[in-house]
Amino acid sequence: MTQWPIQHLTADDLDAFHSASLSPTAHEHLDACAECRALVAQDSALVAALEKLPSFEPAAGFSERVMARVRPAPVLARVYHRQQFALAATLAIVLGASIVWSFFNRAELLSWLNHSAAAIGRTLWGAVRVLASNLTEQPWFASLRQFAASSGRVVLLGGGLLVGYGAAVFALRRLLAPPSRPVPHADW
Amino acid sequence: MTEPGQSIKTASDQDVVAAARTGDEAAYRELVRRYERPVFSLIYRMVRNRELAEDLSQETFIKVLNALDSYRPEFKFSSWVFKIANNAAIDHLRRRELDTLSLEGSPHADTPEKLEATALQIGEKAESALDAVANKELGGEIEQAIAKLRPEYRTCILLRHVEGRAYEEIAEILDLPLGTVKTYIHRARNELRIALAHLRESDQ
Repeated sequence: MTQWPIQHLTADDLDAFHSASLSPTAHEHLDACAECRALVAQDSALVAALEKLPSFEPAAGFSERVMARVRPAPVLARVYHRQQFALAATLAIVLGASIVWSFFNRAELLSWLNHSAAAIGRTLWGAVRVLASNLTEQPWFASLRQFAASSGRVVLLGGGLLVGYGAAVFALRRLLAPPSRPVPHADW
Repeated sequence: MTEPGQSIKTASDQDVVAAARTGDEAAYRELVRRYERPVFSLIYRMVRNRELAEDLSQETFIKVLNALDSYRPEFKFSSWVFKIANNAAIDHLRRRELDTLSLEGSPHADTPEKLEATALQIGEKAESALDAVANKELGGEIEQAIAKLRPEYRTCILLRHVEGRAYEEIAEILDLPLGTVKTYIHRARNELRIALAHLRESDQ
């Protein structure tokens, strides 16, 4: 006599039964187990009933009502695409024309470039001179110059700044480290 | 894209979407035609009110058609549509749940009479003609049993056994792990078998 371990069909077995892919072992169990046969019959009847449920239709004119509220979108998209295309075409034409022009007017282009470079250089040099003269005319400049005359003091100041920077970084790291103990109500 | 000679009605969802993205109005209409029934049926069975289901279905299609540019073609279009439809229905059910809480009466009412009086001030209404239609359409024993399922079980069972979607697609639609979807469907079938047991007994 075959001894069946009490291994009734699982939910996955039921699915396998509905898709006609039940394993031979489960089939053997099903043949011998009235409880599982009843379960399979009930489940099959339920699945069949669910599959037969009708689909419902919205009231007439549904698609018109939807279209009335989305129609501008494609039109806008087309206008937007057209504008994008026009902008890209204009840029391409301008770029192409400037390249062609530069091929035929090299000498003029070079003289413009030289002239522009010289003007930019003069402007920058003027700005540096103005900045330097402003700096030297400040009332605190003399004391700063006196302080910087001693290399020992400069080294001391540099060291102080370095220590201060290190301390600030260390403090920031401590501040940003996650807490070792959970914070109450932090999981809101 | 659809070929000039090819009918839009026979084109794949992806091709129709591509045509719609270029602003083809016929493609928009075709997408609505293909999904209006399944979307409406799903939402109607979720909210059980025809007028509301129409509104939510309309909202779904407007969202879908206005956001076609954000649709990623590597996913099934149907999954995307059902996801938006399901979210619309679930959002409504959640809102209604909040409203129901407020229908229980003012929290400041200190006597049962005051509680009853404040509860009656909000939302009580007679069955409308549309509700009556819904009750008739969804009045079958099996529809009643589906209505009593938890919303997430209801969506799963409807998508699987009424709309015929694969487990994997349902997992994608609901953003749930595959195992959870299988569990929900099996539990839903279990609850439905129990709820409909009296029918079998009366048959015997």
